[in-house]
Amino acid sequence: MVASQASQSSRKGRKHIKSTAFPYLMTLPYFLIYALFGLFPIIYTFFLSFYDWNGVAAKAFVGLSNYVRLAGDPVFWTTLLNTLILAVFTLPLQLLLGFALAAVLSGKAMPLKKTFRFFNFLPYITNSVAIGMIFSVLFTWRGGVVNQALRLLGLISKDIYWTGKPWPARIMVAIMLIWKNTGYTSLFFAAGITNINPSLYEAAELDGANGFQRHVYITLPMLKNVIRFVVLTSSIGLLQLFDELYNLFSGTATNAQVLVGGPRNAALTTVWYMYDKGFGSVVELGYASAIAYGLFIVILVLTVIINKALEGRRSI
Amino acid sequence: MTNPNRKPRIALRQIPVLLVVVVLSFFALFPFWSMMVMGTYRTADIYKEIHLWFGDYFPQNWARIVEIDFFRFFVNSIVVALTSSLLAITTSSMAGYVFAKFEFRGSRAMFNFILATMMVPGQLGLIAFIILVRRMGLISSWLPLIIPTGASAFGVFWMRQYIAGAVSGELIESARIDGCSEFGIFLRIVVPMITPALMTLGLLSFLWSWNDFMRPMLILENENLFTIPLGIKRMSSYMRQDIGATILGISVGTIPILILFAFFNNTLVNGLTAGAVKE
Repeated sequence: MVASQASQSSRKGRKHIKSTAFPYLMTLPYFLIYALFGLFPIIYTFFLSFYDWNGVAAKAFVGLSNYVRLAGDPVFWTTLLNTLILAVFTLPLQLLLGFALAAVLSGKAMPLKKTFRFFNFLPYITNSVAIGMIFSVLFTWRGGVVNQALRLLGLISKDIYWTGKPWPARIMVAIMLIWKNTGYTSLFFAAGITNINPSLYEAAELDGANGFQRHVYITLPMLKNVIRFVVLTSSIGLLQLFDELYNLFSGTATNAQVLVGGPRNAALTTVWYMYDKGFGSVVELGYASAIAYGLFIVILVLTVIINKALEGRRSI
Repeated sequence: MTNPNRKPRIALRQIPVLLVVVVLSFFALFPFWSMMVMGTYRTADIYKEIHLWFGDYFPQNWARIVEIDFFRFFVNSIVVALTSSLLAITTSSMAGYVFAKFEFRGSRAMFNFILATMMVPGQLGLIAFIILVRRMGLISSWLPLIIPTGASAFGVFWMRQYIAGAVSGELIESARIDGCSEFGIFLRIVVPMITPALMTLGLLSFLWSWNDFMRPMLILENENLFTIPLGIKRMSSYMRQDIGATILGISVGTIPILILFAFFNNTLVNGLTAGAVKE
């Protein structure tokens, strides 16, 4: 035992082995806080998902019926479809623009690199209430900047009712998301690009490849992992999107109560649906808990699918 | 012969590249510019035409947001975000240190458990978290916003990785031989050596706390405790007819902190790419 400990310690280098309370005490604050505010709510939410409860009356055990209801709930499936549509609208452009920005900013002769980089991830660190409200002002039906600009360019003759019609609403949300995430996405591409062996580029340059070709034939294939990571985290993020949408559809301009889910639920995400069931006008805490676990399962499945799908491509 | 030809060719090649950057930056900055400009117009004029330059209604709009005491939300946000990030760096560096430098019974299982919690979506326990907070009578208190940031799995992971690389075991061992207490070693030797990592984690925690919206909205009922995002929301419902003043308020609540972040540009970039695991 002593020998194995000693050999382990030399293998690991400099780890200290001593049976005292000290290391446990040092991790205690973390674990105490996590147990109370992290783990307990997760377990209790699972427990609640088997009950019917409006938060006031007594809880009634209903077995699996919340989950049965969830599986047949068209609104729940709508939220997943909305996520898919948003992903299709946003991810290709977000990846393309993020990659272009990173590739361009990685050039040796590029002036003001850090300033441009900062400008472009500024939207990502801005608070979501401000983003939602500003976009609702920019996309105001009558007299908003976007409609006015489109009129000036001669692209439309009738104002588009962005916040009131399903497809315009989806396009508006997509534009907001691309705006918010492009610079952030480019940070990951930039990190990936700096990890690529510079001798590859030198060899390509000797072979006569220009800058564009070097990026298409060397940089892009080397960044499969970055692409997989961005697709996965962005998709999970879309399922959980709430803050921006909530504020977009209750912004200063609509001048009314929040329109849950946007026009005809076109912008309802799974987390927004959960929020509405948990804290909206009709409180169904048990069903909201089931939605939370439904979302968890969806995320697990999604993770496996995306990893599989993009793994296969990587091996080619 | 080749050299004089080379220079202009490179400059020409730079033009499309620069164009990409400038167009994307314009796209990124335009909503901010538009926001700052629109906040200086009278509400009735905002939707008349596209405003690209400042108007003359700034004093009146400013008076409106001073009148509703918008600035206390600012102070509230600073208090909440600062204490949150202090707590996060304290608990994370303590746990990160022992996971980096100690072998103790269960240490590996504990660390793997922390890593596993990063895979769980952040909203999974939301319903019960809010019920718990209400049961504990912590509604309208900053505590349920601040305390949970002390359990940052990303923070522990980040600090462990940093400490494993930045702090030498020999140094700790020699301090131990000199009779320094274990906690004294952590406080006087380890902490000063890891200030860059503490800065990064502190800045990220500050950012996350500053932008937090859903939990504060569900927890804070007392308006005097509202943070900036809630303050903006409340202001907009107060001044429903006064969009000019509302937009000025949004600018005031947003721009100063973004300027502050500009000074930490690099720290933020490194942190955001590392911290992506958290979300």
